[in-house]
Amino acid sequence: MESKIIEDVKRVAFDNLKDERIMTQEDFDMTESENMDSIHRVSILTELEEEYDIIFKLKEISSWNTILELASILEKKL
Amino acid sequence: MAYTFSLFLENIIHPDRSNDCAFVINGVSYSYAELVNLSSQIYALIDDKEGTEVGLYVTDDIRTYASIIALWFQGKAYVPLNPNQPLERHKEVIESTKLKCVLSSDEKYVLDDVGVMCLYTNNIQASNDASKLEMKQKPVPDSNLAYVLFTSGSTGKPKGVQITRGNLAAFIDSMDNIWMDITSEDRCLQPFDLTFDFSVSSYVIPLAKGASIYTIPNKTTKFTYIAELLEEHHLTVLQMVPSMIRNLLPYMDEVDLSSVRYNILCGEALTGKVIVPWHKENPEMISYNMYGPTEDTVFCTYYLVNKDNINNLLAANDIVSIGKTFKNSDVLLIDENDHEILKPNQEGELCLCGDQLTPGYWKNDKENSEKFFIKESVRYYRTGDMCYYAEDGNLMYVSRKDFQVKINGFRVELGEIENRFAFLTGGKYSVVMPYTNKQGNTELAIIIEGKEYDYQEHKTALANSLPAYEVPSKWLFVRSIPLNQNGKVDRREIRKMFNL
Repeated sequence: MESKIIEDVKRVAFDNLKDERIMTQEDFDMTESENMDSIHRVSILTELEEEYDIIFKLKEISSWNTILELASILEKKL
Repeated sequence: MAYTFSLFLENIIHPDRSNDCAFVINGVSYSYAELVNLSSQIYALIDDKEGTEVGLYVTDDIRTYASIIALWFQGKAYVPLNPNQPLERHKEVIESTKLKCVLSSDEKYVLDDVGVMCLYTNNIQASNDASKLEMKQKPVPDSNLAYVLFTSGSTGKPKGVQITRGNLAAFIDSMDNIWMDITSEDRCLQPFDLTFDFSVSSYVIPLAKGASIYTIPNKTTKFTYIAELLEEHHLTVLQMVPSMIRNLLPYMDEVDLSSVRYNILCGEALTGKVIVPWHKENPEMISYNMYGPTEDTVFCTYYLVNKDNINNLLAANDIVSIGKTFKNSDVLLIDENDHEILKPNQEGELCLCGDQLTPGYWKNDKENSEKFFIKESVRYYRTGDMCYYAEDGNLMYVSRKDFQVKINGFRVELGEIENRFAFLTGGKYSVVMPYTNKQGNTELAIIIEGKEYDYQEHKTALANSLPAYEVPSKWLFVRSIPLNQNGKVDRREIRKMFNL
Protein backbone atom coordinates (compact mmCIF):
# COMPACT_ATOMS: atom_id res chain seq x y z
CA MET A 1 0.00 0.00 0.00
CA GLU A 2 1.20 3.48 -0.82
CA SER A 3 2.81 5.00 2.27
CA LYS A 4 1.48 8.48 1.45
CA ILE A 5 -2.08 7.19 1.81
CA ILE A 6 -1.26 5.68 5.19
CA GLU A 7 0.42 8.89 6.32
CA ASP A 8 -2.53 11.00 5.15
CA VAL A 9 -5.01 8.77 6.96
CA LYS A 10 -2.88 8.91 10.11
CA ARG A 11 -2.66 12.70 9.97
CA VAL A 12 -6.38 13.22 9.43
CA ALA A 13 -7.34 10.67 12.09
CA PHE A 14 -4.88 12.17 14.58
CA ASP A 15 -6.12 15.72 13.87
CA ASN A 16 -9.61 14.58 14.73
CA LEU A 17 -9.02 12.18 17.60
CA LYS A 18 -5.84 13.57 19.18
CA ASP A 19 -4.75 10.08 20.18
CA GLU A 20 -0.99 9.38 20.03
CA ARG A 21 -1.56 5.68 19.41
CA ILE A 22 -2.79 6.53 15.91
CA MET A 23 0.69 7.74 14.95
CA THR A 24 2.51 4.71 16.34
CA GLN A 25 0.19 1.74 15.72
CA GLU A 26 -1.28 1.26 12.26
CA ASP A 27 -3.50 -1.52 13.58
CA PHE A 28 -4.76 0.56 16.50
CA ASP A 29 -8.52 0.14 16.87
CA MET A 30 -9.76 3.73 16.78
CA THR A 31 -13.05 2.80 18.45
CA GLU A 32 -10.93 2.50 21.59
CA SER A 33 -9.99 6.14 21.33
CA GLU A 34 -11.77 8.33 23.87
CA ASN A 35 -12.84 10.88 21.27
CA MET A 36 -14.06 8.44 18.64
CA ASP A 37 -17.76 8.78 17.93
CA SER A 38 -19.92 9.00 14.84
CA ILE A 39 -19.25 12.74 14.45
CA HIS A 40 -15.49 12.21 14.39
CA ARG A 41 -15.84 9.17 12.14
CA VAL A 42 -17.76 11.26 9.61
CA SER A 43 -15.32 14.16 10.03
CA ILE A 44 -12.33 11.95 9.23
CA LEU A 45 -14.05 10.66 6.10
CA THR A 46 -15.18 14.12 4.99
CA GLU A 47 -11.62 15.46 5.21
CA LEU A 48 -10.31 12.54 3.17
CA GLU A 49 -13.10 13.02 0.63
CA GLU A 50 -12.02 16.62 0.16
CA GLU A 51 -8.30 15.84 -0.05
CA TYR A 52 -8.72 13.01 -2.52
CA ASP A 53 -11.83 14.27 -4.32
CA ILE A 54 -13.71 11.05 -3.73
CA ILE A 55 -16.99 10.12 -2.08
CA PHE A 56 -17.27 7.28 0.40
CA LYS A 57 -20.24 4.97 0.13
CA LEU A 58 -22.59 4.49 3.08
CA LYS A 59 -21.27 0.99 3.72
CA GLU A 60 -17.71 2.33 3.88
CA ILE A 61 -18.48 4.76 6.70
CA SER A 62 -18.52 2.09 9.38
CA SER A 63 -16.47 -0.66 7.75
CA TRP A 64 -13.10 0.35 9.24
CA ASN A 65 -11.62 0.69 12.66
CA THR A 66 -7.86 0.89 12.04
CA ILE A 67 -5.58 3.14 9.98
CA LEU A 68 -4.73 0.25 7.69
CA GLU A 69 -8.36 -0.67 7.10
CA LEU A 70 -9.30 2.90 6.26
CA ALA A 71 -6.22 3.34 4.05
CA SER A 72 -7.13 0.17 2.21
CA ILE A 73 -10.67 1.40 1.50
CA LEU A 74 -9.29 4.72 0.36
CA GLU A 75 -6.71 3.14 -1.93
CA LYS A 76 -9.35 1.03 -3.66
CA LYS A 77 -11.31 4.16 -4.50
CA LEU A 78 -8.40 5.89 -6.27
CA MET B 1 -60.00 4.47 29.70
CA ALA B 2 -60.15 0.67 29.64
CA TYR B 3 -56.49 0.01 28.93
CA THR B 4 -54.39 -0.64 32.03
CA PHE B 5 -50.72 -1.16 32.65
CA SER B 6 -51.51 -4.56 34.08
CA LEU B 7 -53.04 -5.60 30.76
CA PHE B 8 -49.91 -4.47 28.92
CA LEU B 9 -47.75 -6.64 31.21
CA GLU B 10 -50.01 -9.67 30.89
CA ASN B 11 -49.77 -9.45 27.10
CA ILE B 12 -45.97 -9.64 27.23
CA ILE B 13 -46.09 -13.04 28.94
CA HIS B 14 -48.96 -14.38 26.86
CA PRO B 15 -48.09 -18.00 25.87
CA ASP B 16 -49.19 -17.42 22.26
CA ARG B 17 -46.16 -15.18 21.82
CA SER B 18 -43.56 -17.53 23.28
CA ASN B 19 -41.87 -18.49 20.03
CA ASP B 20 -42.05 -15.05 18.43
CA CYS B 21 -38.93 -12.91 18.28
CA ALA B 22 -38.93 -10.17 20.93
CA PHE B 23 -35.50 -8.59 20.49
CA VAL B 24 -32.56 -8.69 18.11
CA ILE B 25 -29.55 -7.19 19.86
CA ASN B 26 -26.15 -7.13 18.18
CA GLY B 27 -27.33 -9.79 15.74
CA VAL B 28 -28.62 -12.17 18.45
CA SER B 29 -32.35 -12.98 18.51
CA TYR B 30 -34.30 -13.49 21.72
CA SER B 31 -37.80 -14.95 21.73
CA TYR B 32 -40.58 -13.70 23.98
CA ALA B 33 -40.15 -16.92 25.98
CA GLU B 34 -36.46 -16.12 26.53
CA LEU B 35 -37.26 -12.53 27.44
CA VAL B 36 -39.88 -13.63 29.96
CA ASN B 37 -37.60 -16.35 31.29
CA LEU B 38 -34.81 -13.83 31.88
CA SER B 39 -37.28 -11.40 33.41
CA SER B 40 -38.59 -14.01 35.82
CA GLN B 41 -35.04 -14.86 36.95
CA ILE B 42 -34.34 -11.18 37.60
CA TYR B 43 -37.77 -10.86 39.25
CA ALA B 44 -36.66 -13.53 41.72
CA LEU B 45 -33.58 -11.46 42.63
CA ILE B 46 -35.60 -8.42 43.64
CA ASP B 47 -37.60 -8.02 46.80
CA ASP B 48 -39.05 -5.21 48.86
CA LYS B 49 -35.80 -4.15 50.50
CA GLU B 50 -34.64 -2.66 47.18
CA GLY B 51 -37.21 0.15 47.48
CA THR B 52 -39.83 1.20 44.94
CA GLU B 53 -37.41 2.93 42.56
CA VAL B 54 -34.50 0.86 41.34
CA GLY B 55 -31.52 2.13 39.35
CA LEU B 56 -30.83 0.45 36.02
CA TYR B 57 -27.46 0.64 34.27
CA VAL B 58 -28.84 0.67 30.74
CA THR B 59 -26.49 -1.35 28.57
CA ASP B 60 -27.60 -2.59 25.15
CA ASP B 61 -28.22 -6.05 26.55
CA ILE B 62 -31.34 -8.21 26.68
CA ARG B 63 -30.95 -8.32 30.47
CA THR B 64 -31.53 -4.58 30.63
CA TYR B 65 -34.93 -4.93 28.95
CA ALA B 66 -35.69 -8.05 30.99
CA SER B 67 -34.88 -6.04 34.13
CA ILE B 68 -37.43 -3.38 33.19
CA ILE B 69 -40.13 -6.01 32.79
CA ALA B 70 -39.13 -7.71 36.04
CA LEU B 71 -39.28 -4.39 37.89
CA TRP B 72 -42.68 -3.60 36.44
CA PHE B 73 -44.01 -7.01 37.48
CA GLN B 74 -42.67 -6.24 40.96
CA GLY B 75 -44.60 -2.95 40.93
CA LYS B 76 -41.36 -0.97 40.91
CA ALA B 77 -39.99 1.80 38.71
CA TYR B 78 -36.66 1.96 36.90
CA VAL B 79 -34.32 4.92 36.99
CA PRO B 80 -31.96 4.61 33.99
CA LEU B 81 -28.25 5.34 34.35
CA ASN B 82 -26.51 5.87 31.03
CA PRO B 83 -23.10 4.15 30.53
CA ASN B 84 -22.07 7.09 28.33
CA GLN B 85 -22.57 9.59 31.10
CA PRO B 86 -20.01 10.27 33.82
CA LEU B 87 -20.20 8.44 37.14
CA GLU B 88 -20.69 11.78 38.89
CA ARG B 89 -23.99 12.20 37.07
CA HIS B 90 -25.02 8.69 38.17
CA LYS B 91 -24.20 9.59 41.76
CA GLU B 92 -26.30 12.76 41.54
CA VAL B 93 -29.28 10.75 40.28
CA ILE B 94 -28.77 8.01 42.89
CA GLU B 95 -28.51 10.50 45.73
CA SER B 96 -31.43 12.54 44.53
CA THR B 97 -33.76 9.53 44.27
CA LYS B 98 -32.30 7.82 47.35
CA LEU B 99 -31.87 4.60 45.39
CA LYS B 100 -31.00 1.53 47.44
CA CYS B 101 -30.23 -0.78 44.55
CA VAL B 102 -28.94 -0.69 40.96
CA LEU B 103 -29.37 -3.53 38.46
CA SER B 104 -26.52 -3.94 35.99
CA SER B 105 -25.76 -6.45 33.26
CA ASP B 106 -22.16 -5.23 33.28
CA GLU B 107 -20.15 -6.51 36.23
CA LYS B 108 -17.48 -3.89 35.56
CA TYR B 109 -19.92 -1.23 36.65
CA VAL B 110 -18.96 -0.47 40.23
CA LEU B 111 -20.47 2.14 42.50
CA ASP B 112 -18.17 2.74 45.43
CA ASP B 113 -18.91 5.12 48.28
CA VAL B 114 -22.51 5.76 47.25
CA GLY B 115 -24.13 3.27 49.58
CA VAL B 116 -26.17 1.37 47.01
CA MET B 117 -26.25 -2.32 46.34
CA CYS B 118 -25.42 -3.46 42.80
CA LEU B 119 -27.31 -6.53 41.63
CA TYR B 120 -25.53 -8.01 38.62
CA THR B 121 -27.57 -9.81 36.00
CA ASN B 122 -24.76 -10.70 33.59
CA ASN B 123 -24.60 -14.35 34.65
CA ILE B 124 -28.28 -14.98 34.10
CA GLN B 125 -28.79 -17.05 30.99
CA ALA B 126 -31.84 -17.05 28.77
CA SER B 127 -33.78 -20.28 28.44
CA ASN B 128 -36.89 -21.27 26.55
CA ASP B 129 -38.04 -23.50 29.41
CA ALA B 130 -41.62 -22.44 30.05
CA SER B 131 -41.80 -24.37 33.32
CA LYS B 132 -39.49 -21.81 34.91
CA LEU B 133 -41.77 -18.90 34.14
CA GLU B 134 -42.97 -17.80 37.53
CA MET B 135 -43.62 -14.12 37.46
CA LYS B 136 -46.78 -12.74 39.00
CA GLN B 137 -47.76 -9.11 38.98
CA LYS B 138 -47.67 -7.44 42.38
CA PRO B 139 -50.99 -5.67 42.92
CA VAL B 140 -50.05 -2.00 42.74
CA PRO B 141 -52.14 0.94 41.58
CA ASP B 142 -51.51 2.68 38.25
CA SER B 143 -50.50 5.76 40.23
CA ASN B 144 -47.23 3.96 41.09
CA LEU B 145 -44.25 5.03 39.04
CA ALA B 146 -43.08 3.13 35.95
CA TYR B 147 -39.87 5.12 35.46
CA VAL B 148 -38.09 8.30 36.45
CA LEU B 149 -36.09 9.95 33.66
CA PHE B 150 -33.57 12.60 34.53
CA THR B 151 -33.25 15.42 32.04
CA SER B 152 -30.85 18.33 32.07
CA GLY B 153 -32.23 21.17 34.12
CA SER B 154 -31.68 24.82 33.22
CA THR B 155 -29.63 25.22 36.40
CA GLY B 156 -27.36 22.36 35.37
CA LYS B 157 -28.84 20.11 38.07
CA PRO B 158 -30.74 17.18 36.50
CA LYS B 159 -34.45 17.00 37.20
CA GLY B 160 -36.32 13.72 37.41
CA VAL B 161 -39.51 13.38 35.40
CA GLN B 162 -41.80 10.84 37.08
CA ILE B 163 -43.98 8.77 34.79
CA THR B 164 -46.63 6.54 36.35
CA ARG B 165 -47.92 3.20 35.15
CA GLY B 166 -51.18 4.99 34.40
CA ASN B 167 -49.36 7.60 32.28
CA LEU B 168 -47.71 4.84 30.28
CA ALA B 169 -50.97 2.92 29.86
CA ALA B 170 -52.61 6.13 28.60
CA PHE B 171 -49.73 6.59 26.15
CA ILE B 172 -50.09 3.04 24.78
CA ASP B 173 -53.84 3.54 24.52
CA SER B 174 -53.33 6.84 22.66
CA MET B 175 -50.90 5.21 20.24
CA ASP B 176 -53.55 2.58 19.60
CA ASN B 177 -55.88 5.29 18.37
CA ILE B 178 -53.89 6.87 15.56
CA TRP B 179 -54.63 4.32 12.84
CA MET B 180 -51.33 2.50 13.13
CA ASP B 181 -51.77 -1.26 12.91
CA ILE B 182 -48.52 -2.63 14.32
CA THR B 183 -48.77 -6.42 14.65
CA SER B 184 -46.62 -9.33 15.81
CA GLU B 185 -45.25 -9.51 12.25
CA ASP B 186 -43.60 -6.10 12.53
CA ARG B 187 -39.88 -5.51 12.95
CA CYS B 188 -39.29 -2.26 14.81
CA LEU B 189 -36.21 -0.09 15.24
CA GLN B 190 -35.11 0.98 18.72
CA PRO B 191 -32.15 3.31 18.14
CA PHE B 192 -32.15 5.25 21.40
CA ASP B 193 -30.36 5.23 24.73
CA LEU B 194 -32.81 4.23 27.43
CA THR B 195 -32.25 7.57 29.15
CA PHE B 196 -34.03 9.27 26.20
CA ASP B 197 -37.80 9.03 26.59
CA PHE B 198 -38.31 8.31 22.87
CA SER B 199 -36.81 4.88 23.68
CA VAL B 200 -39.90 4.09 25.76
CA SER B 201 -42.07 4.29 22.67
CA SER B 202 -39.51 2.30 20.67
CA TYR B 203 -39.70 -0.76 22.91
CA VAL B 204 -43.05 -0.44 24.72
CA ILE B 205 -45.22 -0.14 21.60
CA PRO B 206 -43.71 -3.23 19.91
CA LEU B 207 -43.96 -5.17 23.20
CA ALA B 208 -47.61 -4.18 23.49
CA LYS B 209 -48.22 -5.63 20.02
CA GLY B 210 -45.96 -8.67 20.22
CA ALA B 211 -43.66 -7.28 17.53
CA SER B 212 -39.86 -7.61 17.44
CA ILE B 213 -37.41 -4.89 18.41
CA TYR B 214 -34.03 -4.24 16.78
CA THR B 215 -31.61 -2.20 18.86
CA ILE B 216 -28.45 -0.37 17.85
CA PRO B 217 -25.27 -1.32 19.71
CA ASN B 218 -23.43 1.31 21.66
CA LYS B 219 -20.58 3.14 19.87
CA THR B 220 -21.81 2.28 16.38
CA THR B 221 -22.65 4.95 13.85
CA LYS B 222 -26.42 4.93 14.15
CA PHE B 223 -27.44 5.95 10.64
CA THR B 224 -25.19 3.39 8.93
CA TYR B 225 -26.40 0.67 11.29
CA ILE B 226 -30.01 1.57 10.48
CA ALA B 227 -29.24 1.09 6.78
CA GLU B 228 -27.71 -2.32 7.57
CA LEU B 229 -30.77 -3.37 9.59
CA LEU B 230 -33.04 -2.26 6.75
CA GLU B 231 -31.09 -4.32 4.27
CA GLU B 232 -30.65 -7.44 6.41
CA HIS B 233 -33.82 -7.52 8.48
CA HIS B 234 -36.29 -5.52 6.39
CA LEU B 235 -37.50 -3.36 9.26
CA THR B 236 -41.10 -2.26 9.02
CA VAL B 237 -41.39 0.40 11.74
CA LEU B 238 -38.76 3.09 12.19
CA GLN B 239 -38.79 5.31 15.25
CA MET B 240 -36.19 8.00 14.65
CA VAL B 241 -35.23 11.62 15.18
CA PRO B 242 -35.23 13.55 11.87
CA SER B 243 -31.41 13.96 12.05
CA MET B 244 -31.06 10.24 11.39
CA ILE B 245 -32.95 10.64 8.11
CA ARG B 246 -30.94 13.78 7.28
CA ASN B 247 -27.72 11.76 7.66
CA LEU B 248 -29.05 9.02 5.36
CA LEU B 249 -30.40 11.26 2.60
CA PRO B 250 -27.09 11.65 0.72
CA TYR B 251 -26.91 7.85 0.40
CA MET B 252 -30.44 7.01 -0.69
CA ASP B 253 -29.21 4.79 -3.53
CA GLU B 254 -27.86 2.49 -0.78
CA VAL B 255 -30.88 2.62 1.54
CA ASP B 256 -33.67 0.09 1.07
CA LEU B 257 -36.96 1.42 2.41
CA SER B 258 -39.15 -1.07 0.56
CA SER B 259 -40.14 -2.95 3.75
CA VAL B 260 -40.95 0.16 5.80
CA ARG B 261 -44.59 0.72 6.73
CA TYR B 262 -44.29 3.42 9.37
CA ASN B 263 -41.87 6.16 10.33
CA ILE B 264 -42.45 7.62 13.78
CA LEU B 265 -40.51 10.86 14.03
CA CYS B 266 -39.99 13.05 17.05
CA GLY B 267 -37.38 14.94 19.05
CA GLU B 268 -36.70 17.74 16.58
CA ALA B 269 -38.65 19.90 14.17
CA LEU B 270 -39.41 17.85 11.05
CA THR B 271 -38.88 19.74 7.80
CA GLY B 272 -40.21 19.12 4.31
CA LYS B 273 -36.59 18.96 3.09
CA VAL B 274 -36.14 15.83 5.17
CA ILE B 275 -39.45 14.00 4.85
CA VAL B 276 -40.29 14.64 1.18
CA PRO B 277 -37.18 12.95 -0.33
CA TRP B 278 -37.46 10.16 2.28
CA HIS B 279 -41.00 9.36 1.13
CA LYS B 280 -39.96 9.41 -2.52
CA GLU B 281 -38.10 6.15 -1.94
CA ASN B 282 -41.26 4.41 -0.81
CA PRO B 283 -44.46 6.42 -1.36
CA GLU B 284 -46.55 3.78 0.45
CA MET B 285 -44.93 4.57 3.81
CA ILE B 286 -46.89 6.43 6.44
CA SER B 287 -45.05 8.85 8.70
CA TYR B 288 -46.10 10.39 11.96
CA ASN B 289 -44.61 13.70 12.98
CA MET B 290 -44.91 13.34 16.73
CA TYR B 291 -44.55 16.00 19.34
CA GLY B 292 -44.26 15.70 23.07
CA PRO B 293 -42.06 16.47 26.05
CA THR B 294 -40.85 13.79 28.48
CA GLU B 295 -43.32 15.28 30.98
CA ASP B 296 -46.30 14.17 28.85
CA THR B 297 -45.09 10.58 28.31
CA VAL B 298 -43.17 10.63 25.05
CA PHE B 299 -45.67 12.02 22.49
CA CYS B 300 -48.99 13.78 22.80
CA THR B 301 -49.71 15.22 19.33
CA TYR B 302 -49.26 13.82 15.82
CA TYR B 303 -49.45 14.84 12.19
CA LEU B 304 -49.86 12.12 9.62
CA VAL B 305 -47.85 12.18 6.39
CA ASN B 306 -48.77 9.84 3.54
CA LYS B 307 -48.89 9.69 -0.25
CA ASP B 308 -51.99 11.88 -0.27
CA ASN B 309 -50.38 14.89 1.39
CA ILE B 310 -46.63 14.45 0.92
CA ASN B 311 -46.59 17.09 -1.80
CA ASN B 312 -48.92 19.36 0.06
CA LEU B 313 -47.74 19.20 3.66
CA LEU B 314 -49.11 21.58 6.22
CA ALA B 315 -45.90 23.46 7.05
CA ALA B 316 -44.60 26.91 7.89
CA ASN B 317 -41.02 27.89 7.12
CA ASP B 318 -40.74 24.28 5.93
CA ILE B 319 -41.43 23.00 9.48
CA VAL B 320 -44.15 20.34 9.28
CA SER B 321 -47.21 20.71 11.52
CA ILE B 322 -47.29 18.77 14.79
CA GLY B 323 -50.98 18.12 14.14
CA LYS B 324 -53.65 17.35 16.67
CA THR B 325 -53.71 15.90 20.17
CA PHE B 326 -53.65 12.27 21.20
CA LYS B 327 -56.76 10.64 22.60
CA ASN B 328 -55.56 10.98 26.20
CA SER B 329 -54.03 14.47 25.98
CA ASP B 330 -55.27 17.99 25.56
CA VAL B 331 -53.60 21.33 24.93
CA LEU B 332 -53.98 24.95 25.87
CA LEU B 333 -52.23 27.78 24.09
CA ILE B 334 -51.55 30.83 26.24
CA ASP B 335 -50.24 34.32 25.53
CA GLU B 336 -47.73 36.30 27.61
CA ASN B 337 -50.46 37.13 30.12
CA ASP B 338 -51.58 33.50 30.45
CA HIS B 339 -54.76 34.19 28.49
CA GLU B 340 -56.02 31.37 26.31
CA ILE B 341 -55.47 31.73 22.56
CA LEU B 342 -58.22 30.23 20.44
CA LYS B 343 -57.84 32.10 17.16
CA PRO B 344 -55.54 30.81 14.42
CA ASN B 345 -52.14 32.31 13.64
CA GLN B 346 -51.63 33.76 17.13
CA GLU B 347 -48.45 32.50 18.71
CA GLY B 348 -48.32 31.35 22.32
CA GLU B 349 -46.81 28.87 24.72
CA LEU B 350 -48.16 25.34 24.46
CA CYS B 351 -49.46 23.87 27.71
CA LEU B 352 -50.49 20.24 28.13
CA CYS B 353 -52.90 18.27 30.28
CA GLY B 354 -54.50 14.83 30.39
CA ASP B 355 -53.86 11.27 31.49
CA GLN B 356 -50.32 11.16 30.12
CA LEU B 357 -49.15 14.13 32.18
CA THR B 358 -46.49 13.44 34.82
CA PRO B 359 -47.40 13.89 38.47
CA GLY B 360 -44.38 16.22 38.59
CA TYR B 361 -40.62 16.38 38.99
CA TRP B 362 -39.00 14.22 41.60
CA LYS B 363 -38.81 16.19 44.86
CA ASN B 364 -38.40 19.51 43.11
CA ASP B 365 -40.90 22.01 44.51
CA LYS B 366 -39.34 24.94 42.68
CA GLU B 367 -39.68 23.42 39.20
CA ASN B 368 -43.06 21.93 40.04
CA SER B 369 -44.52 25.28 41.02
CA GLU B 370 -42.95 27.03 38.00
CA LYS B 371 -43.91 24.52 35.32
CA PHE B 372 -47.35 23.32 36.43
CA PHE B 373 -50.51 25.33 37.03
CA ILE B 374 -54.21 24.76 37.55
CA LYS B 375 -56.78 26.41 35.29
CA GLU B 376 -60.45 25.69 35.81
CA SER B 377 -59.61 22.62 37.91
CA VAL B 378 -57.36 21.16 35.19
CA ARG B 379 -53.65 20.72 35.82
CA TYR B 380 -51.40 21.94 32.97
CA TYR B 381 -47.69 21.80 32.15
CA ARG B 382 -45.90 24.71 30.49
CA THR B 383 -43.80 23.18 27.72
CA GLY B 384 -41.67 26.21 26.83
CA ASP B 385 -42.58 25.50 23.19
CA MET B 386 -44.05 28.29 21.08
CA CYS B 387 -46.86 27.23 18.75
CA TYR B 388 -49.94 28.51 16.97
CA TYR B 389 -53.08 27.04 15.47
CA ALA B 390 -53.26 26.84 11.69
CA GLU B 391 -56.57 27.77 10.05
CA ASP B 392 -57.65 24.10 10.07
CA GLY B 393 -56.93 23.69 13.80
CA ASN B 394 -53.67 21.79 13.44
CA LEU B 395 -50.85 22.92 15.70
CA MET B 396 -47.80 24.57 14.17
CA TYR B 397 -44.51 24.46 16.07
CA VAL B 398 -42.47 27.67 15.97
CA SER B 399 -39.51 27.23 18.30
CA ARG B 400 -38.41 26.74 21.86
CA LYS B 401 -39.20 29.76 23.98
CA ASP B 402 -35.49 29.66 24.90
CA PHE B 403 -34.56 29.93 21.20
CA GLN B 404 -36.33 33.23 20.94
CA VAL B 405 -33.90 36.00 21.66
CA LYS B 406 -34.39 39.71 21.86
CA ILE B 407 -32.07 41.90 19.83
CA ASN B 408 -32.49 45.64 20.21
CA GLY B 409 -35.90 44.91 21.69
CA PHE B 410 -37.04 42.84 18.70
CA ARG B 411 -38.02 39.22 19.20
CA VAL B 412 -36.01 36.96 16.92
CA GLU B 413 -36.86 33.34 16.06
CA LEU B 414 -33.58 31.52 15.49
CA GLY B 415 -35.31 28.69 13.62
CA GLU B 416 -36.77 31.14 11.13
CA ILE B 417 -33.28 32.34 10.19
CA GLU B 418 -32.06 28.75 9.82
CA ASN B 419 -34.98 27.97 7.52
CA ARG B 420 -34.52 31.12 5.49
CA PHE B 421 -30.84 30.28 5.06
CA ALA B 422 -31.71 26.73 3.95
CA PHE B 423 -34.21 28.12 1.44
CA LEU B 424 -31.71 30.60 0.00
CA THR B 425 -28.89 28.07 -0.27
CA GLY B 426 -30.79 25.14 -1.70
CA GLY B 427 -30.90 23.18 1.55
CA LYS B 428 -27.68 23.94 3.42
CA TYR B 429 -27.96 22.91 7.04
CA SER B 430 -27.19 25.45 9.74
CA VAL B 431 -27.73 26.31 13.37
CA VAL B 432 -28.16 29.93 14.47
CA MET B 433 -27.14 30.82 17.99
CA PRO B 434 -26.99 34.04 19.99
CA TYR B 435 -23.78 35.29 21.56
CA THR B 436 -22.78 38.33 23.54
CA ASN B 437 -20.35 40.71 21.83
CA LYS B 438 -17.60 42.69 23.55
CA GLN B 439 -20.02 45.53 24.18
CA GLY B 440 -22.37 43.16 25.98
CA ASN B 441 -24.99 43.20 23.21
CA THR B 442 -26.65 40.13 21.73
CA GLU B 443 -25.64 39.21 18.20
CA LEU B 444 -26.16 36.09 16.11
CA ALA B 445 -23.75 33.46 14.86
CA ILE B 446 -24.64 31.02 12.09
CA ILE B 447 -22.89 27.66 12.15
CA ILE B 448 -23.02 26.03 8.73
CA GLU B 449 -22.51 22.32 8.16
CA GLY B 450 -19.98 21.54 5.45
CA LYS B 451 -16.84 22.90 3.89
CA GLU B 452 -15.97 26.59 4.37
CA TYR B 453 -16.86 28.74 1.37
CA ASP B 454 -17.18 32.38 0.35
CA TYR B 455 -20.51 33.17 2.00
CA GLN B 456 -20.83 36.86 1.01
CA GLU B 457 -23.49 36.13 -1.59
CA HIS B 458 -25.59 34.23 0.95
CA LYS B 459 -25.08 36.91 3.58
CA THR B 460 -26.34 39.53 1.12
CA ALA B 461 -29.32 37.36 0.23
CA LEU B 462 -30.18 37.01 3.93
CA ALA B 463 -29.78 40.77 4.40
CA ASN B 464 -32.20 41.34 1.52
CA SER B 465 -34.87 39.16 3.09
CA LEU B 466 -34.48 39.69 6.85
CA PRO B 467 -34.26 42.72 9.14
CA ALA B 468 -30.64 43.77 9.71
CA TYR B 469 -30.65 42.60 13.34
CA GLU B 470 -31.54 39.06 12.19
CA VAL B 471 -28.55 38.74 9.86
CA PRO B 472 -25.82 36.76 11.66
CA SER B 473 -22.60 38.65 12.22
CA LYS B 474 -20.44 35.57 12.79
CA TRP B 475 -20.28 32.94 10.03
CA LEU B 476 -18.76 29.68 11.21
CA PHE B 477 -18.31 26.29 9.60
CA VAL B 478 -18.28 22.78 10.96
CA ARG B 479 -17.92 19.55 9.02
CA SER B 480 -20.76 17.91 10.88
CA ILE B 481 -23.19 19.63 13.25
CA PRO B 482 -22.65 17.86 16.58
CA LEU B 483 -25.58 15.85 17.90
CA ASN B 484 -26.10 14.80 21.49
CA GLN B 485 -26.69 11.23 22.68
CA ASN B 486 -30.33 11.51 21.71
CA GLY B 487 -29.50 12.55 18.15
CA LYS B 488 -30.57 16.15 18.65
CA VAL B 489 -28.44 19.19 17.79
CA ASP B 490 -25.98 19.67 20.64
CA ARG B 491 -26.06 23.46 21.12
CA ARG B 492 -23.95 23.24 24.26
CA GLU B 493 -21.19 21.50 22.30
CA ILE B 494 -21.42 24.10 19.51
CA ARG B 495 -21.14 26.90 22.07
CA LYS B 496 -18.03 25.22 23.47
CA MET B 497 -16.49 24.57 20.02
CA PHE B 498 -16.73 28.19 18.94
CA ASN B 499 -16.48 29.84 22.34
CA LEU B 500 -19.81 31.58 21.81
